[in-house]
Amino acid sequence: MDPYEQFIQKAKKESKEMDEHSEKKTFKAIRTSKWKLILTTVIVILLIVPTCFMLTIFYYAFGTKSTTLMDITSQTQYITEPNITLEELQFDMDFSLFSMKLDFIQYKQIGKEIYPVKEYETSFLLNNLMDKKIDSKLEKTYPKYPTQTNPWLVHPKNQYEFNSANEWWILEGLPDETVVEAYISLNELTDVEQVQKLFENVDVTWATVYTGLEEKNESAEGIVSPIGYPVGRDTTNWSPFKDSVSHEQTFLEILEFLAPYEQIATDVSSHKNLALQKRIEYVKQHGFQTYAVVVTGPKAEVEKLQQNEIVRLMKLGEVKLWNWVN
Amino acid sequence: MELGKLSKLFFSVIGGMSVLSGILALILINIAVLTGINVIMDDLYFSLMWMTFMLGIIAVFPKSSRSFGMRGLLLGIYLFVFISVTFIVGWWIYPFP
Repeated sequence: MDPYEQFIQKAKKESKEMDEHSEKKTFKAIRTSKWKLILTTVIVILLIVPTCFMLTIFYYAFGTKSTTLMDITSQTQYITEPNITLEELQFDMDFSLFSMKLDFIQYKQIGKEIYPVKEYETSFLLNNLMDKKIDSKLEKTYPKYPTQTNPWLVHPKNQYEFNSANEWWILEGLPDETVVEAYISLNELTDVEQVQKLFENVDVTWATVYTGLEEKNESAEGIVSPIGYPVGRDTTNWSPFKDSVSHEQTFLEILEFLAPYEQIATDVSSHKNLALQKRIEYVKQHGFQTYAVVVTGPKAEVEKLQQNEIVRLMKLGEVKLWNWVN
Repeated sequence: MELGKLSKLFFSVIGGMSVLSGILALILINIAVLTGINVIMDDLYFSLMWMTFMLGIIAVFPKSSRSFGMRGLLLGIYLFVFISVTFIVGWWIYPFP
């Protein structure tokens, strides 16, 4: 073999080795890139949920605050649901993707004791109420779908659907060792203090406020239902009425707080419309007068209220065994 | 095996482990958020987070494992930001003791 051929063969051999080496390198590079791409894709997919969760947390911290939603919910309950109270530690809050769950328990004063009566489970998608489940332990349930004439607290000029005489009969038939909750509608508009003086042996727990719409329970937006405020001294930490000097003033402050969030408040409540702006204006102009109250006390004492001239109608609420202490 | 190759392999494994532990931590977060089971506050999450971060730092220096190291390091930082946001802002939006 002459030197030229030797040189050619050597060159061919080297070229083949280089090709093999380069092929190996290319194959390795492709394999590495493939793995990197798979890993990156997996990471990007796994990052979606945590990132959305962080955005949710930021929304409830700096957008519509979770605490604001909770205040709207709780304060709406105080002014729209007769004779109820809420407890701070019975609130439960849970966050998931773009949503918040808020669960709480409603309590009622019957006699001198507070009883849990309803469990609420609400779900918000950002700031929209998406779901509301109510588990009621009440024996007498307030009308679920409000109309102009089905509330148990009735304005003197409005019509009503229940039979008040029957309710007095039922009350009469109860044992004396019971305490009851009663929805008393009055013959005229009056001050809450006046009612408290007249009903001295029972506790007035909640009073409606006349807001100019209750004669027909109608506003421009549609059907409205009675609103009011708790009357007695409230010592629970959670209550907006805790240590309140004037419950009327606190009631007005709640209405003003809820006004910008009226849609949420309406959704949270059992009312069809709240007509907050009109009611605020009316109350500011005309002051606070009540047309119906919720009372609780011994059966015999509530029965005596029938003789009171100011009492127009009575609807019996919950009944419990004696727990009255003076 | 040559020392160079061995060191390359070592750092590649470190980088890979960093990314892998980061992915496992992300899976834990996904499970926690989607199912409501609280696994984020477990020791496992914090161990994985620190592992991702520390191994990422080690793997980021040699050129051969830099891409894995960078991924691990970034994942570690993300996991730390996530837990900080969940703790600090979460504490802010949850008004109960």
